[in-house]
Amino acid sequence: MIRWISTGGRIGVVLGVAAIELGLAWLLGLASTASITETLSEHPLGFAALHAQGGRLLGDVIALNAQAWAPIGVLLAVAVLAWAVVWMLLGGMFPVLGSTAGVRWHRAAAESLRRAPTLLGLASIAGAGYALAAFAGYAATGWGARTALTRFDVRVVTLLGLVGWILGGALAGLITVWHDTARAHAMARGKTAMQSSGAAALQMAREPLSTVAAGVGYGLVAWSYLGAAWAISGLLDGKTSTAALVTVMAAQHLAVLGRVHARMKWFVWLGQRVSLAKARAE
Amino acid sequence: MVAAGALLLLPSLADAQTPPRVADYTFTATLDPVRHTVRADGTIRWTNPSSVAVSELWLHQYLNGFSGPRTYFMRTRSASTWPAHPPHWGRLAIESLRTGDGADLLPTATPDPAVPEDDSQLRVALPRAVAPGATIELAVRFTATLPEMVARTGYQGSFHLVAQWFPKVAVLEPDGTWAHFPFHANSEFYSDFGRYDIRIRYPRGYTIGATGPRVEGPALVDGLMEQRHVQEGIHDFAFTAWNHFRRADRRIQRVEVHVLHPPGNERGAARTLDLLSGALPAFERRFGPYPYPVLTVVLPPPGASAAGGMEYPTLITTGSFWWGPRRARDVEYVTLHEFGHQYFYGMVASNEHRYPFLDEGFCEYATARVMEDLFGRGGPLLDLPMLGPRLDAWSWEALGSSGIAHPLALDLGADQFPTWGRYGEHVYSRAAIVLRTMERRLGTRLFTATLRAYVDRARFSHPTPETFYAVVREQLGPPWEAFARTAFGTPWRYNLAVTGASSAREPDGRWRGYAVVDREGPFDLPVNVVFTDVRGSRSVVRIPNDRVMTIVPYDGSAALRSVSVDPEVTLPLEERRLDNARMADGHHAPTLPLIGRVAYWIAFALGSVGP
Repeated sequence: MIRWISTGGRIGVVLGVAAIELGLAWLLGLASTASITETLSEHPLGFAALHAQGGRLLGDVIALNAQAWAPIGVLLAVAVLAWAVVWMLLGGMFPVLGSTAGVRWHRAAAESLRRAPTLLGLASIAGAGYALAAFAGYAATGWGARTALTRFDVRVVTLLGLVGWILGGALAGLITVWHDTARAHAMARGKTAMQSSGAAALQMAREPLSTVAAGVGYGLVAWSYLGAAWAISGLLDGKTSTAALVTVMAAQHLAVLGRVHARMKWFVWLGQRVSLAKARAE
Repeated sequence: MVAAGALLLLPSLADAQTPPRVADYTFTATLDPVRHTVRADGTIRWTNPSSVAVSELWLHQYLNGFSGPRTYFMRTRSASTWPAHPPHWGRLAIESLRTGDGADLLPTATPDPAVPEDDSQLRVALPRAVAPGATIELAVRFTATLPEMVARTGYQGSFHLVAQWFPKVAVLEPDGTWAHFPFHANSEFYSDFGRYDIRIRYPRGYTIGATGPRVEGPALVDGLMEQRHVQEGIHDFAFTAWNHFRRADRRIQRVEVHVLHPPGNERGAARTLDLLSGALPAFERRFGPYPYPVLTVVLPPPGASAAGGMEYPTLITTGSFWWGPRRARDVEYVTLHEFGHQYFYGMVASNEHRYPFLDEGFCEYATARVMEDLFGRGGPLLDLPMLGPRLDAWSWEALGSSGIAHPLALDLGADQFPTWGRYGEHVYSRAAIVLRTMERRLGTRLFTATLRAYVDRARFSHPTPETFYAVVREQLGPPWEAFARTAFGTPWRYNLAVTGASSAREPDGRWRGYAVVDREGPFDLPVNVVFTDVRGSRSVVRIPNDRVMTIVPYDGSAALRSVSVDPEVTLPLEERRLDNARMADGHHAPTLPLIGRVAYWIAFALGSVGP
C-alpha cells in the first residue's frame, strides 16, 4: 500500500490549507463587515443588537448599510472566483501526494503548477457540465411545474417542484466526482485533459459503486461537520455569553478544518487508487 | 333543512345591534365550471338611506376591471402585483335590468364618462325619484364570465373563486352623494349592508364554500346541485367551487368554522383550525363579538395562489404550505389578518377606497396584537432558532413604516398613492404602527378599551376618520386626538437619536457628563433617557422631548458607558431604533463574534469551490 506523506506532514497540510481558507475568510469578513461593525460598536449591545427587539435593530442595520451590500457582493464573488482558481491547482496537488510515497508537498505543488493547462481544461469541461446540470434542473423544474398543474395533492405538487433540484443536484454531484477522478488521472498518471476525462468516465462506469459511493461518502463526512456546526450555532443562537460565542466560533472553525480534511482524504484516496491501477496495469 | 331566519345572526348580536338593511340581494346563480361563467337572475332591493331623494342609481360591476388590457384596474395595476393580462379575460354582462313595474333601465344606463375605456361603474337613471327611506326593487339578469385567476378573482383549472360577480349598488352617503368609484388596482370596495339570499347551482362533484350559512341543500334539482346561503348584516357575497376540495370543520365557541383545502394539506387545515380556536376568542375579547354563525377559510389549490389573502364577509382566503414549519407563522399572520377584516371591513365598514387605512391599517394592528396575544411577546412571526434572528410582528410593521422615504398622509385615498408599494407601506404598516404607538403610550388596557369603543360605535356603519378622532377625544382627551390627527392626517418622519454621550471625572471624585438627544418630527411625547455606567448601574431621567435637541446631564459615581433613549420602546413609530442607544466616548461594544460568523459563512462559500 502506498502511503502518502507522514502523519505529521499530513496534519500540517490539512492545517495549512484550512488556515489559508479561514485566513482568507477572516480577511474578507473584516472587509465586508467594516461598515456594520462600525455601527454596532457604537451600540451598547454590540453584536447582540442583531438579536434584540424582535429583529427591529437587525432591520435597521440592513437598511442603514443598504449602499454597502452590492460592493460586498462583488467583493465576495471575486474572492470566491479567485479561490476557485487557486483550488484548481491545489486540487491537482493532493492526488500527487497520494500517488507516490515520499513526494514533498512543494514538489507536488510544482507538479500541479506545471500541469495547470490540463487542470484548466478539466475545470472548463466540469464548468460546462455544471451548466448542463443547471439547465437540466431548470428544464425538469418546468416539467414539474406543468405536471403539477394537473395534480391536486399538494404533497405530490411539492415533490414535482423538487424534481429539478434533485436532478440538477445529483448531476452536479456526479460531475464533481468525475472532475476529481479526472484530476487524479491527470496528475497521478500524467494524462492529458481529454485522456483523463475518458479515464475518469471509464472508471466511474466500471466501478460505479466504489468510485461514486466513495465520493458521496467523503462528501457526506465533509457536510456532516458543517451540519454539526450549524446545529451548535443554531442551538446557541441569540445567546451572547462569552462561553456561547466561543463555542460557536470553535465549532464553526473546527467544521471548516474537518471539511478540508475530508476533501483532502478523498483526493489522496483517488490518487492512491489511480496509482495502484497504473501499477497493476504495468 | 334549517330555517333561514334562525341562522342569520347570532342572538347576542341580534339583541344588541341590528345592522341596517339598505341593499338586499336575492339571486339564483348557476356556475358553469367548464365555461367559467355564472348566470344569475333575481332582485336587488334598495332603500334610500340618505336624507335626499335620488333619481339615479350607481352600480359597481367590478368584474369588468378584468375585461381587457385598458380598463382602469389594468391601467393602474403595479407590474409587481398582477399580470399585464390574464390569459382569459372576464366580464360582467347585465342582460336585463327592470324596475318592479317592468320599466327597462338598461337603454339609458351608461358607464361613468369621466373614466374612459372602463365600465366598472354603471349609472342607472330611474324613472321616478326614490324618496329618503323609500325602497325600490330591481329585477336583474346577468352573466359573469370569470377571468383566469387574477387579483383574488376567477378560475384556475376547475377551481373557482367567484368574487365581484354581480352588480352591486354603490353607497349613498347621508348627504345624498354617491360614493361610486372605478375599480382601481390599489383599492378594495365599499358597499351597504343588507340581506343576501343566494341559491348556488353547480354540477355534481363540486364542493362549495360561500358567504353566510347554508340554509338549504345541497340537493339535486334539474340535474344540478343546489344550495342556498342566507346572511344578514353583510355587504358582499363570494363563493368558491372546486371538485377536489377537502373539508375540515370545527365548532369554535358558537361559530361553525369550515376549512376548504386541497388534498394533502390536512396539516394546513388543522393548523388553521387550531389558530382560529385561539384567535376567535382573542378577537372577541378585544374587538367585540363576531356576530355571524359561520366562517369559511379557503386554502387555494396549487397554481391558484393569486386567490389567497382576501376577505369577504364570513369567507376568507389564505394560503398554507403543507410542509411549513410551525414557528414560521406566515400562515397564521395571513389568516389572522383576513379574519381581522371581519371586523375592520366587515362590520366596521369604512370606505376602503377613500380611507384604506381605516380597514387595512386597523386590521394590521389587530393582527399583530392578536399575534402577541397568542404567541407571546412581540408576536413572533419568524422564530426558527437554527435560521437566524427572530422576527416579531410588531418589528415587521415598524420596519415597513420606517422604510418610507417620502412620507404621505395616511388618510389619502387608495388611488392617491402612486404605487402599490407606497400604498402598502403607508396604509398597512405605518397606520398599524401609529396605533401600536398609542397602545405603548397609553397601556394596552386603556387603548384596547378605546379601540373597542370605536368598534362599538362604528359597528354596522360606515365610519370615517372623524368617527375615530371623536372616540379618541372622548376616551383619551384632546391631546391624543391631536396626536391621531397629526399621525393619520399629515405626512411625517419621526426619529429620536442619541448623538453624543460623554463623561469625565471631576475633582470631587464624581463623574459628570451629558447625553445629546436629537428629535426629528412632530410628536413631543416625554421619554426616558437611561444612563448606564461602567459598573452596570443604571439611572433614569425623564425628558419632555419637546425640542429638536435636548442635552441631558449625567452625574454618577462611575464613568458613563452608554446612553439610551426610550429603551422601553414607547415610540415604535420611530424611523430607526438603532440610534436610540450609543456608547459613551471612548467605549466600544464587542463585534468580533459578528466578524467570526461572517467569516465562517465566507469560508463555507469558499469551500463550495475549494477544499
